[in-house]
Amino acid sequence: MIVLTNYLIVGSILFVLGAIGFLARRNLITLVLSAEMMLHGVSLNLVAFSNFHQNMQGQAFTAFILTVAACEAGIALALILTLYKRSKSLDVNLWSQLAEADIESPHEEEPAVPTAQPTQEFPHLTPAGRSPQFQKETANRV
Amino acid sequence: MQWLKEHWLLVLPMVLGAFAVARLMPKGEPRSSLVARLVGLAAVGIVGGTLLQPTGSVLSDALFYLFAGVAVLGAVLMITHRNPAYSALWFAVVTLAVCGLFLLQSAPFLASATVIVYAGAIIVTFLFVLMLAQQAGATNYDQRSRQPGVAAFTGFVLLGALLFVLSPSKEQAATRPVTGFVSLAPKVVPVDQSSDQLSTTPQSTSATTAENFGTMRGLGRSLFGDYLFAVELAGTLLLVASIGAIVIAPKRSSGKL
Repeated sequence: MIVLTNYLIVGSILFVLGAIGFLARRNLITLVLSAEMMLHGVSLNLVAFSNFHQNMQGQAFTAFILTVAACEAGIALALILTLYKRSKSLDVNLWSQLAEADIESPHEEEPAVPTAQPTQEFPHLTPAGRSPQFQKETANRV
Repeated sequence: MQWLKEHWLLVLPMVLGAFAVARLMPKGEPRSSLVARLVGLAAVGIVGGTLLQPTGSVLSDALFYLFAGVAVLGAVLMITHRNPAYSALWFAVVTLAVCGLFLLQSAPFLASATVIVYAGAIIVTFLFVLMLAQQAGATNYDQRSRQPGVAAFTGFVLLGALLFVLSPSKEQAATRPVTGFVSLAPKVVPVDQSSDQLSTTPQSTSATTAENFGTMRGLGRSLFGDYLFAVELAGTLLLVASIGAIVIAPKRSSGKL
């Protein structure tokens, strides 16, 4: 006996986490991935109901969800590439001026670049052989 | 107050989960997230311990808990990771776990198709675009999320409402301890062609009986019997989407690859 509610709970958790990721992240690719995770939650619901009713209609709907997800990913990638070509960045906040001009920006201006630069590492040569001894007379000759 | 006292086992993991997700979201400088991780695990544990109902079969229970736990934890790690490439890889993990749940629900064709489409095609193309666009490594906008507290609050209010509906009430749990659903139980409605009454149970014109449920034969009969026009539409949608993607994608100047 399969418990229907368990699968619905997992599906709703996946849906909500995808929604949170869609709302909170700023990378365009992460946004699209979060939307795909919301689709995962929905298709889990459909498959669970399909098994609960013992007919194939939920699974057929999930097949259509797969088709739509594939189309969505293709078009989303084309759009992301176009946007990237214009702004040289995947930041979604750069496109917030698409809203009405007199609406204030929903995100606060943040101090820039907290990214930790990788520390520059120079190659070390392991010492080989004896270290040269300076003798006094050679130093004097030079 | 009375309501809160009755349902604190539902409210508490929502509060803990919202705190953990909001805290784990990247915000400026990297900070230690051990407390947030522990709180998030506690929230997942409370939800799993109180709301999920064991079926009695040890094997299917163990597999369900494994796949569900991997799916939920991978989802949290996906939406909170600072590096979008790792996010894509965690999304692949979530996809595999969801495919495991599909297998448990006797949908083997959908499980394999989801692995092929998502993990095989979508993730790989997303990783290609990531590597094309972010060759410099970590960027500013990946380190700062957009109001994670508000987003987590909104999401977990929605999740609390959903779980409140899904959690079995006392009398339902007493009468039907297995499913928790009374009104949604599949009713055997006698198919009467003459009267077009609305039945809650979806009826299929092609005979999907219990013996070919879950097989590819049953799914094929359903797709190409009941949903033939929808399949044709889906094919047209794929064609239109591919043409649209080619049109939208940035043009190359001629002579260059």
